[in-house]
Amino acid sequence: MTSLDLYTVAGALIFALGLHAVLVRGHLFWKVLAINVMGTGIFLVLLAAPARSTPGVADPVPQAMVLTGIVVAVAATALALGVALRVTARTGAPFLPDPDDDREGGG
Amino acid sequence: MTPPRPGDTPRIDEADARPLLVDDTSRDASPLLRLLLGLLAGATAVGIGLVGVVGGDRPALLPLLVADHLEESGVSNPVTAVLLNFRGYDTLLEIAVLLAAMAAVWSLDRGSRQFGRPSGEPEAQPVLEALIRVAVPVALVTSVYLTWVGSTEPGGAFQAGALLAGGGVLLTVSGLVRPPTAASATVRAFVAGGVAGFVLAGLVLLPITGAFLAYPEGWAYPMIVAIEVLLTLSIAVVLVELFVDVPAVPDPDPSLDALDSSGDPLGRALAAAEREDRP
Repeated sequence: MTSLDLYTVAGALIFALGLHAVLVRGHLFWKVLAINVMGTGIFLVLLAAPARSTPGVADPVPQAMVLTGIVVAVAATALALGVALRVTARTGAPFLPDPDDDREGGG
Repeated sequence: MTPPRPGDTPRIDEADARPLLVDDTSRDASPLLRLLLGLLAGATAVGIGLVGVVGGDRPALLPLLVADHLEESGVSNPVTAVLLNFRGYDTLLEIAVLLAAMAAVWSLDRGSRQFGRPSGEPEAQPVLEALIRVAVPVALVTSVYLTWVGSTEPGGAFQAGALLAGGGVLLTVSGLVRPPTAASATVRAFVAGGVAGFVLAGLVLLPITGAFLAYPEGWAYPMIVAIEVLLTLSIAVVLVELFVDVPAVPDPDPSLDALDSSGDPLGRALAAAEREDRP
C-alpha cells in the first residue's frame, strides 16, 4: 500500500464522515460544515487516485479541477450560510422547516 | 420577532439569526437511523477506497498529452497551462459560477451588521490588530508573487485571489476597513470584471484566430498573465464580498408601510409609479 493509496483511503473516510454528519445532524450550520468536509474528502480522492496510474508524472488535469473546485466550494459555502442565516431569522430555529408544521403567512 | 405579512420580505435582524450559532441536537436522527446511516457511510467509504486503490490501472493519456503540448501553451507550469489555455473555457465557467453565487448572496439581503469595535467600547482588540499588521502585508505581497509565478511554479489566479481575500476579510471583520457594499460601483466593477474581461478576451480573439479564446502564436503568455491578474482581483473581491457584505439599500422607511404592503424599496417605487399612472 503506497502513500498515494493512503491518501485515497483517507479521502474516502473523510467523505463518509461528512456524508454521515449531513444526514444525521438536523442543525443547518452543521449540515453546511459537513458538506464542506465531504468536499475536502472528494478533493483528496481526486488528487491521489489519478496519481497512481501515472507514476512519476503529475497529472495536471485533476489538479486544475480541484484548484477551481476549492474556490467554488468556498463561494457555495457562503451562499449556503447566507440561506441558513435567513431561514434561522425567519423561522426562529436553525432547522429546515418541518412540512408537518402549520404554515405561517408570507415567504 | 414580528410575524411576516403576506407579500413582504422584511430585512432580517442579526439577533434573530443567533440560534444558528448555538448547537442544538434536538432534531438529529434517532439512534437506529444513525446506525443505518453509519453503515451507509461506511459502505460508501469502502466503495470509494476500493475503486481508488484497486481500480483499473489503465494508462492515463491526458498527462502525456499535456506534456507534449506544454511548449505551445506559453507557460511552463502544466496546471496553469491546463487552467488558462487547454481548458480555459472551464475556468471561464467557474468564474461565472462565482458571479452567480455573488448575485444569489446579494439577493439574500442578510441585514445590517456591525463589524469590529462596537462604538463606545474602550478596549481595543490587540491580538487581532497585531495579527493584521503581520498577516495582511504578507498576504498582499504573496498574492502578487503567486499571480506572477503561476506560469512557471505552482501558483496562479485562484490561489492568489483566495489569499488576497483572506487578508481582505481580516481587514473588514476587524473593523479597520469599511466593508464593501453592492452599492459601490467599484465593487460591482471588480465582481463583474473577471467574467467580463475573460469573455471580452475570447470575443476579441474570435476574428483573429477563428475560435473563441484561442490564443494566437506567441501571444499566449502575455494574454495568460493579463487574464490571471484580472481573475485574481475579481476572485478576491468576490470572496470578500460573499462573506462580509452589507446591504446596498438602507432599511425601508416604516412610515411608508401604511400605504403599501411591500417592504422592499423596489416594490415601493413600483407601487408609487402605479399610483401616479392611475387617473
